[in-house]
Amino acid sequence: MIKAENLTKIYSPCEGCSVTALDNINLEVGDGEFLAVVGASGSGKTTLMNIIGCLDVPTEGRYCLDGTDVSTLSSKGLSDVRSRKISFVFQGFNLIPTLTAAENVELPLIYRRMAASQRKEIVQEALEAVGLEKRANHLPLELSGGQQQRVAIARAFASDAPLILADEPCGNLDSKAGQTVMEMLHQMNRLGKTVVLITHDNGAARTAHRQIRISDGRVL
Amino acid sequence: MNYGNLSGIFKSIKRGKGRSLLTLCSVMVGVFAVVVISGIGSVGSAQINSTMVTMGINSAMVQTADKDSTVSLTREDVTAFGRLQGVDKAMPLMSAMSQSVILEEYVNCYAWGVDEDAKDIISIEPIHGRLIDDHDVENRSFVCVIDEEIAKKTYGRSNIVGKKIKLLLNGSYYEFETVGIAKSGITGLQSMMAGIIPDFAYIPYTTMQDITGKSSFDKIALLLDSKSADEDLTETLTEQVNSIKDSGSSLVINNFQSQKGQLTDILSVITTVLSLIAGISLIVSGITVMTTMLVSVGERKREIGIKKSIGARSSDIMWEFLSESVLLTALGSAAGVVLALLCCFVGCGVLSVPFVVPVKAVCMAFGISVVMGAVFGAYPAGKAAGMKPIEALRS
Repeated sequence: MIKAENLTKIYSPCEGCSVTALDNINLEVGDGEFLAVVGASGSGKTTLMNIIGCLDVPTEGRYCLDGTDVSTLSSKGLSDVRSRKISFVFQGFNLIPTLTAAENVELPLIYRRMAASQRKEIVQEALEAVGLEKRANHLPLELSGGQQQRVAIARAFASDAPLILADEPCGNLDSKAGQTVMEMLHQMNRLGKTVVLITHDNGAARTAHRQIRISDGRVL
Repeated sequence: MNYGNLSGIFKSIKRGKGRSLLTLCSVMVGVFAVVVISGIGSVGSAQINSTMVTMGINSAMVQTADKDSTVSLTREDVTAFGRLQGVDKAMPLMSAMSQSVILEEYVNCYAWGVDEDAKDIISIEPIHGRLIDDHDVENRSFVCVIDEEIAKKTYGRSNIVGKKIKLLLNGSYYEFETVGIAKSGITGLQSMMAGIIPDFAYIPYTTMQDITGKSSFDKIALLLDSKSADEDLTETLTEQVNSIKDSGSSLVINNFQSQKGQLTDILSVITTVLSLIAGISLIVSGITVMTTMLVSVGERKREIGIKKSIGARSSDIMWEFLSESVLLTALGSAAGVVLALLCCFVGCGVLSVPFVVPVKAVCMAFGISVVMGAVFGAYPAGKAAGMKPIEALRS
């Protein structure tokens, strides 16, 4: 599913200065694998996730997703890859505040140009899968943190992308809500999705099939 | 274009209620100004037309260019002029300054000697009784039709049919029987002279010839064919009547065509200039739309990042922001048009003039402001669409 070769990301926040966020990283993740990327704050794990998620491009190196070298893709091509192959679950939930839970779940399907009738059915299923069907018409602000994260997972579930990138999904949740979210990610993995979990929580990482540790932009 | 997220676009507008409302108001004011000014122009133009028609836009008078002219107008001329192309009817006309005496009340008036065609040619309408008919002309009767105003000034009411009236003609008072009351201020002749002599009395032209001892006529009134009545016809007829009379350019033809054209032109220029000035407010409101949308893009950076991360294309983001600005201007324009038409309607009601919808101006103002929404919304929308997802997410 994922093959990264010699990925390097260097930021230049000011003239003459540079920060190496990723340093020559090689990574392979197989289809249906549950990988945990563990590292301290500032180690470069989120930068890695952004590149894997086609939100950012590496300064050097080659990244192939499902056999496609994403560096060759146009902006529209990258959008299509994000739409069809990747689902994100962010630490801060990243729901649109003006849209209801159902509308947030529906949004990726709209961008995929899916027919309205089909969308409604999928949204209903996705919300049922995370146990929030009764909160479909609630705005994010009317939901608890755990419920908001479950809406984000429902959004990932609805988009049916083969790769789920979860960046500290339990970071803003209490332990019980965190456990629920982790269980849902495992459930999606059992359904055949590849999951890459970015975390600093060793407990959560231990539930993954495989762990890699990152420090100062390098895989240890 | 992706039309699936229309509800999201409405929600985005609703989110910044106060800001959206103010932007909407600025567009509304611009469109309101353009439509109201055009509305005033349209109503004014229609009013000029209807007034001119009432005044006898299709009537014309043949008369000598100066008082001392030796050219005299005869019965044969009436027949000859009536046969000219573009002329439906011709009628002899006599006129004299006069004074009416009713119940020892003296009222200055202007006496006209007319025939049975007066109703058609000089647009007088009887409100009581009848007009001068062919028997009156043939019998040289001492009957008259007077303006409503004369009746009101003397008897305090308009219907005084059958009452005797004395008219001062050729230095003496002659007694006439009032056979009809005409509505004041609507005929071409009355309107032409309204500032000087407001009230008219009409008698058979033959009777006036007898009193004045004239065998010729002072003027010949023509009823022009309404389809071909224009300034060109007036010029052609002037040449033709002078040719018939072999009078060089002694005879002139007066009518309202040229005045109507001038008035309409002036009104049109004023309306256009004012509309252009009002149009500036449309541009100002366009800039307001742009400012609002730029603020909105700045505030919604993270939202743009989220949307891009879940698969929105740049074109989707562009479409969403453009739709929002076009929707804002469309709503503002619609409100402006409704408000302006309402004001025009009420204004017309108050002024008792017919309400005319300036369809062209309404369509133009609405169309321009919607296009303006797209034009002024393009930069903010482009800015939103061009954002890199990672940078937008970090904000």
